[in-house]
Amino acid sequence: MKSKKVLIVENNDLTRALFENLIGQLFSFESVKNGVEAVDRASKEKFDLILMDIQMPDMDGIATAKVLWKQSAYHSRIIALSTYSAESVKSCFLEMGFEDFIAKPIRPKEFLEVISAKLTSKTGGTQDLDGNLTLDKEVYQQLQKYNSIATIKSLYADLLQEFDQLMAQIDTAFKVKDQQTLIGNLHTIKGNSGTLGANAIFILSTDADKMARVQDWDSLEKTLIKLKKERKILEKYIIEETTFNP
Amino acid sequence: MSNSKKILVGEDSSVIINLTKSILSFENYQLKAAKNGKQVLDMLEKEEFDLILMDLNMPVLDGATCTKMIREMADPIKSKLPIIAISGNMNNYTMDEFRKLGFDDFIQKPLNYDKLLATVKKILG
Repeated sequence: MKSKKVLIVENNDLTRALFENLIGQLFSFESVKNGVEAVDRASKEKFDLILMDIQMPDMDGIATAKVLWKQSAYHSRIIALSTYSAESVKSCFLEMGFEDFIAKPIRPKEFLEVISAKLTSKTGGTQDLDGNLTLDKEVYQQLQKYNSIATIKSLYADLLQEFDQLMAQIDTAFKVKDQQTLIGNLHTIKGNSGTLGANAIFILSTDADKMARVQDWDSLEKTLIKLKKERKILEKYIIEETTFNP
Repeated sequence: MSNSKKILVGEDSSVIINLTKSILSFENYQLKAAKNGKQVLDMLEKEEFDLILMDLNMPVLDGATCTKMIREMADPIKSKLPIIAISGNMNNYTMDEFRKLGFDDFIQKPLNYDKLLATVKKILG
């Protein structure tokens, strides 16, 4: 697990030392004292997870997260840490695009469990996909376990058809910057593509979802174009896969 | 093994509905679909089910609110129906938080097919 690297962003020396101690037991880490240093480090190296204190002087954790997402193509997975404790706070952070929320003061065991779960979960990882980008071979094999080729074909036909419907609505929503429709539809595309192993579409829609949340319209526009391209690639791939590998 | 257990799935994506159908029919479960929470409630009025799979993000009436309404129903059989949550933001909730919302179990999106079947089987047998 030492191959996973965590960036700790925390201005309080004592708290930072505590985090370093805990994280260091399982993972590699680097730590910085403020948002500016975090942006600097994250632009030079890729971290598997970022722990972000929210209440920091000058540039707070939310502002820092927004810069990081813009900068690193939205792949940064950031956990918010804060002393706000109301139940509703967690959902606010998730809405903004944070990976999770941990309340301070932390409970060490729980703290490590959450972080370990994040670093070992398959769903959050957008790396290590290599050749499986268009269609995840493992998912495809799983499908074959339960379905005939004809059913698999129809499932992917559904996927493409629903993609087109959702994307048509997204295009309209984008023109009027209807954020709620954009997020809702991208979320559905994410769930559909992820479940059927369409990794490239899953990654792009995950990024696009975050862009819509922080209203980064320029990046979103470009990503929507990429999404449409990937949809065409997937369609071609499915035809080949279901024709030549019965 | 014949199986006449009936499952209702509340899910707005037809991709997920059809996939779920194809996998659960593998064990001969019968599946009916509702596109939002309101349709789930309507169908519960008319028919009996053994289990509900409930997407959290649905238009009109979301899965958590719908589940809360089912738990408050006067009919003791309906109010105690097993309900499994399905959602993409899943890893952000703990099992405790799901139980508080009235769910018996949860499945994470992107769906893992074996996990889906195993979770349903654990409750329905």
